[in-house]
Amino acid sequence: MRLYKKKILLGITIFILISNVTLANVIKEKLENGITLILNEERVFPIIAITVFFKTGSLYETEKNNGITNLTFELLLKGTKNFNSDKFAEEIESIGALIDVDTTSDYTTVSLVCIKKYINKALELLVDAIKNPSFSEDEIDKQKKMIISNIESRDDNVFEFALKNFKELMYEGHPYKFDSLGEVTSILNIKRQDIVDYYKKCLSADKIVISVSGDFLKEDIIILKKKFEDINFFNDNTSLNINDIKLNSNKEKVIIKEKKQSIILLGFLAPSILDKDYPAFKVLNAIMGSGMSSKLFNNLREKEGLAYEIGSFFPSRINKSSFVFYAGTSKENIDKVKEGILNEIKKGIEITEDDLQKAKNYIIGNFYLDHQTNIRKSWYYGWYELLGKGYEYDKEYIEDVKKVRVSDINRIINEYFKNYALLVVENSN
Amino acid sequence: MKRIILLCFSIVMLFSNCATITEKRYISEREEVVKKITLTNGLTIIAREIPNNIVSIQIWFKVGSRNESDKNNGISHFIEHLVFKGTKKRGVNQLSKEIESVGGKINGATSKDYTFYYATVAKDFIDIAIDGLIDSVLNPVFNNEEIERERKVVIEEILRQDDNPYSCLFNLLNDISYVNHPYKMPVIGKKEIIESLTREDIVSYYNKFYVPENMIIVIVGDFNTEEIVKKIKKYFSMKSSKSHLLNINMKAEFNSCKIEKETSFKKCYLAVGWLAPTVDNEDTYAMDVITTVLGQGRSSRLYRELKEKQQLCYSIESSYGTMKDEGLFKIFAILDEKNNILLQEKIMEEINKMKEGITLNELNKVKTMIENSYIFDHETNESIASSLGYYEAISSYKLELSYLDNIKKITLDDVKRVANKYLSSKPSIVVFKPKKESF
Repeated sequence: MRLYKKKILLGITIFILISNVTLANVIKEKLENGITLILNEERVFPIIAITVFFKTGSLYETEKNNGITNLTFELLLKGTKNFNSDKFAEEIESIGALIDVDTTSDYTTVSLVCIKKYINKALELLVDAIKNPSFSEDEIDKQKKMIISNIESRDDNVFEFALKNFKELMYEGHPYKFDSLGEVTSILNIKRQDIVDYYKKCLSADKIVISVSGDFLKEDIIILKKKFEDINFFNDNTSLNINDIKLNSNKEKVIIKEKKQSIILLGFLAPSILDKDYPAFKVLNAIMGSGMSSKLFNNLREKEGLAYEIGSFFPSRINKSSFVFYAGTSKENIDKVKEGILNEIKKGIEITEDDLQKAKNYIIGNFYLDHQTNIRKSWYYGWYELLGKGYEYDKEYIEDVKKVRVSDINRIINEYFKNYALLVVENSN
Repeated sequence: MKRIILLCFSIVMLFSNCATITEKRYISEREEVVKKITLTNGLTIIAREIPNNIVSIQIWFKVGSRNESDKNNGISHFIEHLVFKGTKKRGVNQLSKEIESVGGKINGATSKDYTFYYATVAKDFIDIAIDGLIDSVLNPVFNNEEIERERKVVIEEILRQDDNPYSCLFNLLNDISYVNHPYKMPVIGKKEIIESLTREDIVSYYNKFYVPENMIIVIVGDFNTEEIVKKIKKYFSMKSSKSHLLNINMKAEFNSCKIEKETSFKKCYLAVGWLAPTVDNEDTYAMDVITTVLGQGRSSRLYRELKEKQQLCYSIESSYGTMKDEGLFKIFAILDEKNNILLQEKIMEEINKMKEGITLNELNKVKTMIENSYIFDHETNESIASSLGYYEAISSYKLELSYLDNIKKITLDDVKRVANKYLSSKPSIVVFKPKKESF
């Protein structure tokens, strides 16, 4: 046991040894047109991962066009000037490459993973999708139907249904309330010209970060740069008009649904990734609701048996984020779980140095375990860069986490955890 | 179950004409570096050294809902929940805290054929992970109070599954497709059975199946095999085998059946299933090719023809879970109810076309797809350990190592023969239709 305690104290120092996330091989370049390029060279596996980040997402949408980012970017993989949708899929899969798009509130990505020997062909297809989407009426129609079906299926998943309604309650009047899929009415209203115009704005060199990780050659990067160098800067005069998010009093909403389990989401406003309190919130999230040693897991699930799934999450956002407690429970335990969560927040100010150290180790360990694959590395470097922290923050983040003190945790609890938004999906059975 | 689906999607084939030096090196390295050691008490250790400062340790047991009956269905999963609830040495959940406090990851999972526990840590904490995992699986106290607490948690998990259209659909498909085989039962069990299980039931089941000859320790990462085997042996020097298990294959009898039911889900969900080859059957490799050609990826036949061209569904895919006994080859779709009958007809048309064979281009494309996803899926110690443990639990780790070679051998004739052999019978079908006035 003595040995174990000693090792816990050494935890952070030692865990850094596992990392090959030293940023020693990471280079940042600016193309002449303003596109940012991050390169991380690694020779362990014959894999190359490329993540292209666009500074667009549901944050930049309105009630009227909610869902346009997701619809537009999904269409990039549904046919180009050179290949129709079928042929494009055939070309990508014939070289065993994976290409995907992902839309969030703050950013959108087009990502590619391939084996190095196929990089030329894979790059050609990735660039074709980004630069030459055909946005054919036929594909738009099919994709809209597909998205509307996904919107309906989303309601079949009780947690997703709850989360959507929670965001609407929490972020009333702010675009963070939007779901990236959109709503049936907004999707039906979007026309081809809306998509073409929207994409023109997105495809602006100053809003693009390309992050590459893996076993690439210099020649591969020369080709990549050449392919992206003719993307222009789009002069967008429309300014982003976003209200500040406020929660002046507690908000509560209960939805009865024909389900067997009830879901509780209880959230407080929290800082943006650009705020000085961001690392302290990440530590608090680890203490409260991440993993099997968290306060919620131990006190409400293990000791009280009140819920199977319980925890907290604190998504990283450019604007104000939220710190959310969640639980799946039975109808009769809803009040107990709510009280239990509020009680844990009150007790939060009693956390010890030991709690703090363990939470930091948890964050740091998971950080490194999540940096094992090339696709995750390319994602992390590009993400920090796009959000304005710079790719170097991938390393600095750990340093910031280490600096968090018990007094910081006490302060943020007192400062931020006042008014809450509570969404309950209550099972009718 | 997730593990099986995952493997089914990721299992790989090597396109014979494209084997470059890198890939050859990759395969031969795997064959040379994986070591299997069997102790005299029957415990199996599988080790692969990778000097990357991380170690993944997994303990697999050849027990899952396949070993249950309708009296104790769900007990394997229940025990998995209870294993981290304390030993003589450790308090409730103490191991999770120990592992997470050094930045590691720990969890457990149960399927039809196996149960496993895993931890991934920096190499400096290998002793904590080994000591903790072995202690947890060999010495659980099964405290009555903890059993009662965890019973509530498991019941909540069951209710959560009942709210999920996918788990409901596949549980029902399994239920109707097998006549007597335990694969018909859900891994998680049923609420009333979980409520009725006693501590004696749990201890007796545990004593029967958690024995060294039913146990595999897989360790992948930064360590010295000789040293690690010595360490592991110490834990088992006093632990003699409790019983001898005959983990023989059970022949599955298929029941072609169709169920359509109204649910509170908003969309229409369809699942179609046929009995498929066991892990030890040579046909398993051709079945993987069939699965990928038909319903994996955007250029697959079902996706292209039924989703994109005919627009009969919003999503469609096929899957094949390689299992100890005969698993199911499945097709799954989300659709509008009005297309239900037509989509089923068109699926059968595609199945009939498959029985006529595939083209060389398709075969080559699918081999490349699977070859590459194999490489993508082997970037972490944890995923490598999972593949080795999974195959050893249901057959032999050697199948993981020889998989690519076996796939390379698949010919157009193999695909045609296997499609005719397994997909000629009438399938089982489950359809969930939305209630007319669901809310």
